Amino acid sequence: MPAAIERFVRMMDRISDWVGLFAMYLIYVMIAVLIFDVVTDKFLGMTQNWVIEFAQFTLAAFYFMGGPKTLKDNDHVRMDLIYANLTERGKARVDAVTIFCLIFYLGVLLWGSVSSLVYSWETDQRLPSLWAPSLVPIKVLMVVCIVLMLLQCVALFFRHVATIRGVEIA
Amino acid sequence: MSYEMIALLMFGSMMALMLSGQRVFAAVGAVASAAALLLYGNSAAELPFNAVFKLFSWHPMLTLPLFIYMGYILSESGIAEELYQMMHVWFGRMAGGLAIGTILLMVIISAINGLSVAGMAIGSAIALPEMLRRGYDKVLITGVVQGGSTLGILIPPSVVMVLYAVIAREPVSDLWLAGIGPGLLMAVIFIIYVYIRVKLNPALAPALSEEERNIPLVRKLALLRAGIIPVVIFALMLGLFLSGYTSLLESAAVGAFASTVAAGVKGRLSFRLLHETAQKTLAVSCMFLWVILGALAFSAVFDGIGAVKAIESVFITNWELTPWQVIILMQVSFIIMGMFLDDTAMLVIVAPLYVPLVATLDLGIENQMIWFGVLYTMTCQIAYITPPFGYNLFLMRGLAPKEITLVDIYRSIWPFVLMMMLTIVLVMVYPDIAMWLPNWVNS
Repeated sequence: MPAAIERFVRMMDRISDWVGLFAMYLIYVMIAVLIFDVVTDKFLGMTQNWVIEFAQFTLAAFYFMGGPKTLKDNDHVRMDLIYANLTERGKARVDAVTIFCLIFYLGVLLWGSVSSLVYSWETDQRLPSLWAPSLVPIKVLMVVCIVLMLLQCVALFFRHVATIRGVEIA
Repeated sequence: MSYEMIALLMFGSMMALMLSGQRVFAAVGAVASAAALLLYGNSAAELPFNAVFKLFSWHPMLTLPLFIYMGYILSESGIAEELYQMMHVWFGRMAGGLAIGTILLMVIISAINGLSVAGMAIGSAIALPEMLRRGYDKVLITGVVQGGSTLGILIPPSVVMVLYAVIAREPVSDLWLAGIGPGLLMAVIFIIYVYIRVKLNPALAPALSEEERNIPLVRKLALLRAGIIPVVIFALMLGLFLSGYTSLLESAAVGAFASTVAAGVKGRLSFRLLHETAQKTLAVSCMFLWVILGALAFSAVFDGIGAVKAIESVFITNWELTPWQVIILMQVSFIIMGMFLDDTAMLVIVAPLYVPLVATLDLGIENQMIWFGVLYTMTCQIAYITPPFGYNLFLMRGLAPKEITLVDIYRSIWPFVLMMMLTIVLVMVYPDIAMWLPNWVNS
């Protein structure tokens, strides 16, 4: 494989790992915020009106930022009725073709997310609540993550092509 | 093209894509996106992305990573080893006592975590080697661990039920309460089965040695302490939630926090454990959430073309099925599909197709969506363990001691599948097995 492609694949893997590393620690942020809410609400009688929404944003960030890493690590469930019995090269052959489904889906998601972001930006869309946070930051994050997932798919495609040719990108 | 044709085409292409072995969420999402664009043009481009905000507004969804986290940290906390010892000593005297103790261990583990993976890991890593060493029949005990571990999704807290509740728009609390009766019934049926098998053929489960049986009462009582932590976690989490003191989300956070503390009390808490647990939680949560995202887009398109009405008319008008026959047909189709699909993939089908259809059936059962949720969860249990493709089968192969071969694993599950089917039939014939508890609490 051309050196530039190998560099790209390795760089994408590193980016996915870093973003995923940040994402996975968000679980502790969620637990901490919710425990804070239980303590202040039940024991001190101070109702927090931002906690649920904050948890919603955190969950969205959690699985969007986890997207590229889980694609890279092959964590997503597959129906491996036939697939599991293929050789490594056979799997790579199938994946090199069917990954375009994923690219198509992510492409439509990107299209939708950009148009949704533009709408939020233009109308200053906020959640209808006391806290009323803006939806722009989370949508920016989602757009960025979808782009990263698309790039990770391209990297995966190159990996599959390399496997078919009998080389591995380390 | 008629709507029936479009619906059939969507389902067909989704199944074909899934068969290729590509990630389930990609197959579902791609078909949904393509169908939306073809049916409604460019204005539908936002449809798949809008699923993100549908999911955003469903609070029960927030508990998913918390319950997954809890399951992983508890299985590393060392609580299970102590619990097993307790069961071992207290049930050692009975015929087949260790196997029966293992089933009870699975019930307790199910009550403090929401997936079946933890029970599976604990059962094959701790209980199996101990029973093998004492000459228990390996096919029998392999089945016990697999059948028992699936109780994790039927006994609250249950992640599968949270997902179903989100899709069917039913309260999670009612579903969880409805799972308790059938879950305990299933455990009792497992225990009776083991007891009868061992009575008929004592060679399946040799009695323990004299010294192992005669353990002083003081030590026996000391071992009971092992049961305290699970009871505390269960009471904290479910007690607070069912009594209405904390919300579902808050209770899940309390459970996650309490299990982390429990791991600390047991001296197992380390940075490495926190890191690894976070990593596993991310992987499993992302898998679930992305499948749901795809499924939501799929069912939005499906709703839009009135596919459910079309299928309903095929079942009720063309085939002249009674509502009960439709339910039975659904269960049979689910059990067959479960052999090839796992529960996340089944969710993709149940979401757009079965849930709206069941809602229109007149079965004469109060809260029938809750009742159906319990049936759905039990078919997911069967799906977990049935060959050729069961989630637990693969896990088992990786976790169990080497003496247990794939053939043993395959042979071991059938009695348990039959007992699960028996429970499904019982809950269908006597809906009160599931429904009395939620009805009683709500009245």
